[in-house]
Amino acid sequence: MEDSFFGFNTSLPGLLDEELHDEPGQGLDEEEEEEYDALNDETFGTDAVEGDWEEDHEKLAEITEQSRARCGSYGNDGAERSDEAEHDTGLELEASLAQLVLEDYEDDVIVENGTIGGKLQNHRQESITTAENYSSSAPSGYSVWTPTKHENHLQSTHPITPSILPGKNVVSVEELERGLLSQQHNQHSQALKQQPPLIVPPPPGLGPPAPSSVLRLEDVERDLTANASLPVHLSRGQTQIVQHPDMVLLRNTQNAAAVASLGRGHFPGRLPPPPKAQVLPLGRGQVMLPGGRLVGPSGVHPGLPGIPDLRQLPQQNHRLMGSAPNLLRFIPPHLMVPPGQGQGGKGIPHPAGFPGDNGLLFPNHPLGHFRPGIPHVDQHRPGGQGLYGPRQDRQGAYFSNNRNGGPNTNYQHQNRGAHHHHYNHSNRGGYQSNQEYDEYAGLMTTREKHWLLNIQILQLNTDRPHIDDYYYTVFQSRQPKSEQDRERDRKRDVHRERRDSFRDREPRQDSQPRVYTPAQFENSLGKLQIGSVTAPRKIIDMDVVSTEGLDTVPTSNQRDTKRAKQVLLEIERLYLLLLQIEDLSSTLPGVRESVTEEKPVLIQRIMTSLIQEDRIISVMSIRKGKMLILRLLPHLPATDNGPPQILTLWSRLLRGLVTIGRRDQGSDAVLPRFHPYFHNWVTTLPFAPLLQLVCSMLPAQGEGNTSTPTPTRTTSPVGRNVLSYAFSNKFGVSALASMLSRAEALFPTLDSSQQQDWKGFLSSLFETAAHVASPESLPAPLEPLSTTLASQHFERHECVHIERYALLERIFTRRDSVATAGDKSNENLA
Amino acid sequence: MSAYPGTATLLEELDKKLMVLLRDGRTLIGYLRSVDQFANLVLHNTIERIHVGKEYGDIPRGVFIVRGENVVLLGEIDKDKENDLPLKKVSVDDILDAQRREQEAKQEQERLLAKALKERGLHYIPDLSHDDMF
Repeated sequence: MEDSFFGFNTSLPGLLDEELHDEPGQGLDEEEEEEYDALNDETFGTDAVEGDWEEDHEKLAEITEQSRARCGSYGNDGAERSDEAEHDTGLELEASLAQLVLEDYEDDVIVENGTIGGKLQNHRQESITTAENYSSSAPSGYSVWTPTKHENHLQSTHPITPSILPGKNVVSVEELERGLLSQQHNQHSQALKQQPPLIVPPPPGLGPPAPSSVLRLEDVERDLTANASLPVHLSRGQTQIVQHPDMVLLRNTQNAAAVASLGRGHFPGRLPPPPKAQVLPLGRGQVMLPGGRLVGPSGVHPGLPGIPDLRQLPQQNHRLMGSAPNLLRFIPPHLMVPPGQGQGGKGIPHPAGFPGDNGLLFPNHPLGHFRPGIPHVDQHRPGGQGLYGPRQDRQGAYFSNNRNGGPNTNYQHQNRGAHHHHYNHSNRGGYQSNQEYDEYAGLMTTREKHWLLNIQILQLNTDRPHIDDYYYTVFQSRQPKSEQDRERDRKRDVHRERRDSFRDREPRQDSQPRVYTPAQFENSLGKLQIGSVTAPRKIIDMDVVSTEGLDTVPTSNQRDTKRAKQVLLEIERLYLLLLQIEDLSSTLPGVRESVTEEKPVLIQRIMTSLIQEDRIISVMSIRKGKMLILRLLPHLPATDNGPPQILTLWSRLLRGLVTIGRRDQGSDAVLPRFHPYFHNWVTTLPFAPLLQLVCSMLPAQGEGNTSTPTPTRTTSPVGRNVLSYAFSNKFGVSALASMLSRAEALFPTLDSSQQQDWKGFLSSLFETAAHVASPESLPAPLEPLSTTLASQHFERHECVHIERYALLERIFTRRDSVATAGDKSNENLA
Repeated sequence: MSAYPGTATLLEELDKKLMVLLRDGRTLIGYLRSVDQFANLVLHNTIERIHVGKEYGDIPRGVFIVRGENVVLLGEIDKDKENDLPLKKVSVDDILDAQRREQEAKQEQERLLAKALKERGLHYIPDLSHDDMF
């Protein structure tokens, strides 16, 4: 792994100018074909499929170019921008990758933007927004994707690069590490001679032309020792900046430190020294060489040291504004507090502007205020080594202010309480719990964190909290209320259930077809796979699918299973309708408005489904189905004006009473709860439906839905079955009682034929009752008949023996309480 | 955390040493340096830890950028407990050997299973569609 950096050849090639003229992709291809094809045909070549994103890019290229210059505000909706940038970047990447291989500064070069060898921008006083690699969407303002043209810059970099690449000035990492290692063990003065500090020539805009500013390392060394301005002691991880008239010497002990500590004990010592692939924490727009040579945001710019060259700063103000967090972030490892500190033996004190949590070196005030730090730096600049002393303190103090605002720190404050003996500071400036130095801490700036948090918060925003996040909203609303209120609310909302996307989706189609545009994020390739409430990912629709092959004959068992599943699905569908009905009377905000259909329509839909053949019986066999109908009943009009299906509903229910009743055993029997509704409805019935109703309990001579059946005395087992079962079922006996009372009330109005019909029914009733077991064992009707009413009713049928109707009387007048039962029976007998 | 109860964000895990389990079964241990809205992770000083039985071995990997969808779970590593593992650390070569042996044993098992089923007239198709370990 040390040999290559992402597959690139990292050894020093002897190539220079001529190769720079090559086709962008050529050099790369030759070397890397077998290992890593960064320029694969799929993406860049002729095989590239013209997908969505490409079209978008092409379309929006012009717009983006113009708009980028115009709007420079962060947070711009720049989906197009990034797309366009990407498209250009594709080509740029080729160029830059080639450039990368050819311009090899020892080993790993991080291509933070695609403009290695790109335009030299340092010297230009561009505002941040017009910088070519500015992307308003990226939190730091700089993006990886820049549309700089490659060819222009080849020439411009020529004067620079060769001058930087004299072989003798460039050392490989191994040499460097060796040097630094030896430095550690030797006296510093000797080490200074041995170690190869690197030269960071000033950027061309400021310093003298590059070639003249490039000195041999040894020369510089001698200069420095002569000036006696060198630090005596460098502790691990420190990087030192020594002021030189023309350039700044950047001594980087980081590698040594890393080597020596083998990862600082974060990992066991097996970790080999941070290889050439060691990535130094750079922000965007920076290219950093492990030797400490820094390249500015414009690309491979050997002269730009970033912070170390402080002359740069005022001119780079704007750039730094945007990239300040990034620029300065790497300072701690490389730019340690001046030697004075080392002497103070403070170990590794807070370097100036150590990034820590928010990763900002200069006082990047949490509110985004950039300015203050820069002037300070200017002030101190001439101070040379004393430079960072005072500044550091200020930064440190300022810094702790910054961190208190971050979301990270809040958590760590709490954390601190919890693990008091582990966390001395809360990761202050990269200090881990054991006071270890984490120099890479704070890579994510506060700004970036806020950016991410904003995205996440955005996803939480909703106009309809009761619908999108029902449980939490209700929970919150209940919290401050008193106990009493909570009780009231609970009772009202007992039937509330979670809304789901199905219901939300449906009404939309009718009103305004809302076009769903998935969220587009900056710098993202292609479209996102986000499911949301309004446009969820494709879900697997619930459908009953047979599991066996088509050629096998489905056995009855499988058919039953299939039928059961279908019933369940139907119940679910009906529930959705029912919930809509219930929502119509909801008090929660926004819920009522979400139902777009009228109540009668919804009721109609439910009823239509329930009326179907045998549907009611299957539905009632399942508890959830029972609850469905139970909850539906209050919404059915209690008068006779209701839909005619109500009659059918009840008829079918009574007819299937045997099955339903049998399934409804146990202490949690739901059927009796149906009775009040039944009773209320029956008391409004005219005679004809009533007759129809009672006939449903008799053996049907043809489905007596429309025609009035003629109840006859029957000894048919079927007819008797329902009736006789009805006696043993609480609901059954209650229903009969209700119907009898209604008939009694209606009796004066009946004509003779109707009366005949009713008598017929009563005869069947008597017949059945005769075979019934002892009446005491039977359940009492929920609305028992008064004795007078009962006797009055039965007496009319003189043909019946008195014992029979006495029995019936007993049955129907019994009350639930045990105490009165005996009295009643005695009373009746008397 | 307190601003939006019931929410969580990876931002609180930044700069922490995490153990990340990937969908292909790999275990990475590294410092979380950066995240984004897709929960892509930038892991620093990452090692890939291979567990075979009671042994494990670490392969240093450097910097990882993990696409968010490939993460199964991640958790913070307790530095104190990290030093007291009940497992035995072996060299990378050893652990890779052990892993290979484990794989071979598994394949052998499957082969025997397929053979046995075939003898009984059943056709065993091992699940080839498993991109993910989970």
